[in-house]
Amino acid sequence: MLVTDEQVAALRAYLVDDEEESDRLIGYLEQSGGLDGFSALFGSAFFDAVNRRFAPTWSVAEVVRFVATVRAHHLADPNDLDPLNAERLIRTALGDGSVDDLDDEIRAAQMILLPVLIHEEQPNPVALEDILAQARRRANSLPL
Amino acid sequence: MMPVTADQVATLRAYLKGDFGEYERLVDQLDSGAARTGYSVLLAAAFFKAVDRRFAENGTDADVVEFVGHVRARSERLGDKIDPRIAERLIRAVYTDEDIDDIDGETVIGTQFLLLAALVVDERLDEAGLDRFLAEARALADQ
Repeated sequence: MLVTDEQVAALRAYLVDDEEESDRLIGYLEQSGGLDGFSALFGSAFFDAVNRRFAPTWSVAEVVRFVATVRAHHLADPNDLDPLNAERLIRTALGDGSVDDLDDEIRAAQMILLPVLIHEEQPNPVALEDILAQARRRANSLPL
Repeated sequence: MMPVTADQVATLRAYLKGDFGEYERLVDQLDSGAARTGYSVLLAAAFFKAVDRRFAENGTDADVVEFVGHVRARSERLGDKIDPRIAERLIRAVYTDEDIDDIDGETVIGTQFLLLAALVVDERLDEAGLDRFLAEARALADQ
């Protein structure tokens, strides 16, 4: 199934911190069976954001420091993000390892990490649309 | 418990100075259970002192998380050897009522060992400073 406009709108609202709109749209997707497509879109956006941030030359040290910084400065409680899971998730997006065993934890970590990655990029509204369009294209090309 | 011995202090000193040949030689001489126990007590006291100096007064949870992150980022070996959540808990346990009873002894000692080395490196102690630090740790261990 192809990514829908509502799924893109939900991700956009989430990334610009429009909590009310994001909750409304995600609630709608929950009810209409659109959450799987939203997860695929979210995962694709995460993959792209990680690669823009760290690739092509990256080090484990960079990933470790980045996760520590997120936990130290972007969360009310650092324990809301498991550091080892977060590091594995980022490294997997960079082609190092796999996270097949981390379902709910994947989603939770991505929900925290993706906004931080995007905020670091400080995209203007047009650049944000490019980011969303790229994620949409990647999600649409994923095997079913 | 027996008081900390000069050999135990010398062993920890060699480790913290990075004199690994001397450290290996001395640690082999800790050949009794009592000697090794005394060494562990000294290590715990030194860890307590170093953490207290660094974090107890003005340190925040964010500082602890960042410190552990920086230590683990120093090398892949350190990143693999140190569980970040355990390390953070061990540090916080020094100045809060954080309960660490569920962490096994070997992990506690191994993690304290590595964190202590990093804390001492960050303090950039000269010889006299290191001696003073170890004397304070010894006094605490002997209490």
